[in-house]
Amino acid sequence: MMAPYIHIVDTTLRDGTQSPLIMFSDKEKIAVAKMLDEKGVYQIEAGIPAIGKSEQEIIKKIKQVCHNARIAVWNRLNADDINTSLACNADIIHISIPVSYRQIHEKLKKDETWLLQEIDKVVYPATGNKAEVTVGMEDASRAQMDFMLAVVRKVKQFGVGRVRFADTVGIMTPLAVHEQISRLIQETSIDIEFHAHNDLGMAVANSIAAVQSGAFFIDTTVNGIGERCGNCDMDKFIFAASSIFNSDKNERVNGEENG
Amino acid sequence: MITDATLCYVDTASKWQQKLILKCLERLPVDAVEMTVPVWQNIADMAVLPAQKYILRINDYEDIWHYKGAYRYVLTAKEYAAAKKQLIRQNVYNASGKKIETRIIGLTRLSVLDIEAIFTHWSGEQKPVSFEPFDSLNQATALAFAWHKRGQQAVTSFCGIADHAPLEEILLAAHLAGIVPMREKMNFRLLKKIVSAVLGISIPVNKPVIGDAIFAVESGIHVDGIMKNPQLYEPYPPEFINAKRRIILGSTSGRKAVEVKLKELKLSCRRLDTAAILEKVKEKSRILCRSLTDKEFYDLVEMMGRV
Repeated sequence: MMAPYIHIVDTTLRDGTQSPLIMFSDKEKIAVAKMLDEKGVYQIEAGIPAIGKSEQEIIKKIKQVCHNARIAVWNRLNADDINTSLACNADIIHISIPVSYRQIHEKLKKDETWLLQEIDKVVYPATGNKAEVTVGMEDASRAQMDFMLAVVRKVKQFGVGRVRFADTVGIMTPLAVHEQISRLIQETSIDIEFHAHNDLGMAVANSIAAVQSGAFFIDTTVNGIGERCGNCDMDKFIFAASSIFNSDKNERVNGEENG
Repeated sequence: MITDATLCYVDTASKWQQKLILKCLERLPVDAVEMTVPVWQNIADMAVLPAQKYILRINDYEDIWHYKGAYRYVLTAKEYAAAKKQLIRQNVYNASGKKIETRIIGLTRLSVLDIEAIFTHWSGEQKPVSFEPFDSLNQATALAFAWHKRGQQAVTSFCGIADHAPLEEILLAAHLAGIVPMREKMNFRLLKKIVSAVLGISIPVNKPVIGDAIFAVESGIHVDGIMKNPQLYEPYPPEFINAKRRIILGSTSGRKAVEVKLKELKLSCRRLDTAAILEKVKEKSRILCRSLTDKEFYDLVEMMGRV
């Protein structure tokens, strides 16, 4: 089997720093970004500009020191957040959209119709800028497929070429990942980025399943740091992917003939 | 079905610790407990042996007659070392010495999606197959769970010791998938204490299911969501595993977290808005390069003269 080309999207400096027991100083953030850049990651999610001025300043510095990786910033579905982000000179404006019933009705206290209208109001204008816009489907693993398809079709109309499928609470298994990712790609042909959490210890296995299902952008963090049990560990994912995708698929069990 | 093999890897534990591990496993929905001969000999003098199916790991077929009383006997293959690199087959015997099952153990370079066809083949074999995947490629939980989901026997160890699928992860995954609905809460505290003491390991604070900080939350968006409904950002309630949610204040906190912490510490800040406190929290957190302890937060609010 030919190994697929996988784009590593590193979110150590965004989701990783949301881990309550980890905090980087500004110097450390720059150093981490430089190392990731040298390591050859495709994209570095550098932070959330809406957090405040110090976060914006550090993102600008990261942009200056990284010469290869694309620098992304995370935003809520909110025009003010995006305007703040545009001032950071990032290559990618990532807009996170809650897509599960729970997130829409219980967190935002809104409904699906409101959300789709908000996408029109916020995502469409954002695509008119120099930066690429990617969209994140928050809590996708607990969302209705029909609604996700509606969201993907809508953002695709605005020129968004990639959406993130987020297993926000880390409850997926590889077979569920395969079912959902394959369907999204089959029905919309959009590029999928997979974002795993490790609550059941399956973040690496789920990310491998995502690649096998056609998602060629995989979110990782250094040492797997992140909210609760963390995200997909970059080194573990790369090690597993290189072993699995370069191995003989006709693997036999030793002693099979005696079984 | 789950066979737990934790007792195969704690030969250095005291007799008392081995018995405690067995008692802890008895309280969990485990179908069989596997152990080595030395451990079997140690627990033999228990006044009442927990009602379990016991599987004994033996090196010689004749051991079946030397160590009577187990439900099954797994004959460790001579080429066991090869399991570090590939899957190997082992024979499983009943108490009469009849080969009754097959154990497949080791490392596979197949992903869960790749191995599904092989699972179908194994499921069709005359003798039942139990599967004991190794975790070198971080696939063991997913592989063991996929096999378990088919109603087959998966072999685990607590905390994933000796490169296994962690028992606690399989139990939680099975519970969330509705395969093994738990009537009682699961408590891994004692098991965790014994295993980490015996093996001299420190369990990472973010270790799935059993890490000390997996329900600690700092980020403003997440605290706000959790206060509206914990299910928004928690895969299962912390109480289910005898854990507690902790709100931490730091550089990514939001106003909601400040409000929650003030209430938790029974602090009043009528003359000061939470935004001002939040700014101080973030500033202090950046200086310390870590989150604030409750004491530091208390002192900060007190210093602002508003307690």
